[in-house]
Amino acid sequence: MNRQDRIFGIVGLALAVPLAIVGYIVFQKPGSTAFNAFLGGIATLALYSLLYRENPIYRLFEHVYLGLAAGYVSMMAITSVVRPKWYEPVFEKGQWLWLWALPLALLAYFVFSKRHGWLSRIPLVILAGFAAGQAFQAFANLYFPQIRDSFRPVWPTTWRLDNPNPSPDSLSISGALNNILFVVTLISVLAYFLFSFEHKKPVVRSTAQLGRWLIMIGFGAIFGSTIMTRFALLVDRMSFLLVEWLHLRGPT
Amino acid sequence: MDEAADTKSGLLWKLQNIDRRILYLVLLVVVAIPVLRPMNITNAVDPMSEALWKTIDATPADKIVLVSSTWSKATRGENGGQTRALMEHLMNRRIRFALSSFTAPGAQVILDIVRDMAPRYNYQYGRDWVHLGFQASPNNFVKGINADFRKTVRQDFVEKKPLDAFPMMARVKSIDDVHMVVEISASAVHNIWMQFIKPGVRVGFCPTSVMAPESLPYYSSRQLAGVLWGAKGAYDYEQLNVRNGTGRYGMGREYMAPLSAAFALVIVSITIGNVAMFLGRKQTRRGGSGS
Repeated sequence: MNRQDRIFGIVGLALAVPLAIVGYIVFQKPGSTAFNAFLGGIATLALYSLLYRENPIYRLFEHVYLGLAAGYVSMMAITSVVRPKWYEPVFEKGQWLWLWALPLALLAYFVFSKRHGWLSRIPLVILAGFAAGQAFQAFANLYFPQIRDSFRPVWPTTWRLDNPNPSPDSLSISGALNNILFVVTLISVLAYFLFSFEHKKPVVRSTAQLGRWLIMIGFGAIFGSTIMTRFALLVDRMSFLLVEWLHLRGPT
Repeated sequence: MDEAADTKSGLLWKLQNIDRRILYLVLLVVVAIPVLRPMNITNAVDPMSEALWKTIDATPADKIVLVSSTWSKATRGENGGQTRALMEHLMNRRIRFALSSFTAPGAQVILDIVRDMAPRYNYQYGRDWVHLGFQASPNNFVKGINADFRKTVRQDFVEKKPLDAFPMMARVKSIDDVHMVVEISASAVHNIWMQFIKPGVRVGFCPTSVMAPESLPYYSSRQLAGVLWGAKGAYDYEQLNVRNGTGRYGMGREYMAPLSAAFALVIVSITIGNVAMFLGRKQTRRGGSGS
């Protein structure tokens, strides 16, 4: 940690601690969430300080967040899983057969032992067995309808540009064009992923090339969606800071 | 390296190398203005959003909707607006619903929203809605409720009572009593519902924008009854609610103007950077300094 970082950290803490105390005194009222919002605002600013540069205040709040998240998830695991699904059935309802689940689950912690590490594989193998058993159903239900949907009619049944009341039996010109675009994209992208032979023939080469271009267009669209999510999160934080925290906007 | 790139004092070089902190500051200002001064952005409702709205609206009186919330405060900007719009619709139409979650924070965030909205619609816990809580094993939960809710969920999340203690669960025995499942999520959890839910139960999906593209093939093949595409989907749903008298505008419309402003800034920045690059290269070819 260099001198600048130390100054940044000391000044930041010197501001944050009294602010939190003042906030507690001012905002903490029974049934009110004002103090939570106040702490949320401080934490948001501390985490956004990374936009200026890496600094100890950011790291402090990052670790506080990780600690809170780990504690919260552990507590939820106990209150929502271990207690209602194991402790209560075994010790309060007398379903003793479920007692075996705890030692079996605890075997996973032998992963930290060099000598008995092999024991940790037992619960893993059981879980893998469950997953393998479910895999066929999962695959069939997810992908078989996709394969069925890839067989689409490309010849219109009604010579109208668009069908205001689309039904499975009627296909308009625009619907047929959409289906043609779908089929061309499907075939060309599949051709791009044919690695079993060299793409020497012009038909295969150009189809695969088209597939590559279409994949790139798809990636571009997906990247645009990614940016939309990130900005929506920024807008939400800005709204939180300016409206919920600082109350800079009146009722709309 | 070309001469233009070497000339660090040149305007074209500067336009291609703006300090990221200046861009961040401009972005914050551009987003802050419409947040503080809300404005309406016109919107065309996506057919995917309309399909979800219509499917939920067609819920029979004797069935419930199961809403799964697998998101946290980190994606409130998108999933928060979707959840509120969906709840407005359910409560306005007096559709009974059950909540569940595949993540620990997801169970709490939706509970906070429903508790905030329920008094406005006189929605009572146990009579109109219940919370099944955090489900640590998604596959087994879905396979379990296909057959029997009670054996799968031993107690509710809020009052820690058996499901039989709640009047609305009296007629809900298995997944046959569920009209549809709506997954509000920041990840690809919709796959689990499509993989394991009993055939015939409709599945709706409300993802963040980053997750939405990969759900489209499933909407196209009718495996998903409808999709709300991120913040835009939330605005679509609010618009459908307002149009049909089942809700009002909220986060979806509020966030659309700042989002559009941010997108405009990105487009302008990319254009400036690329124009500067092309002009710089052109000047270099002519033997200039690129300034």
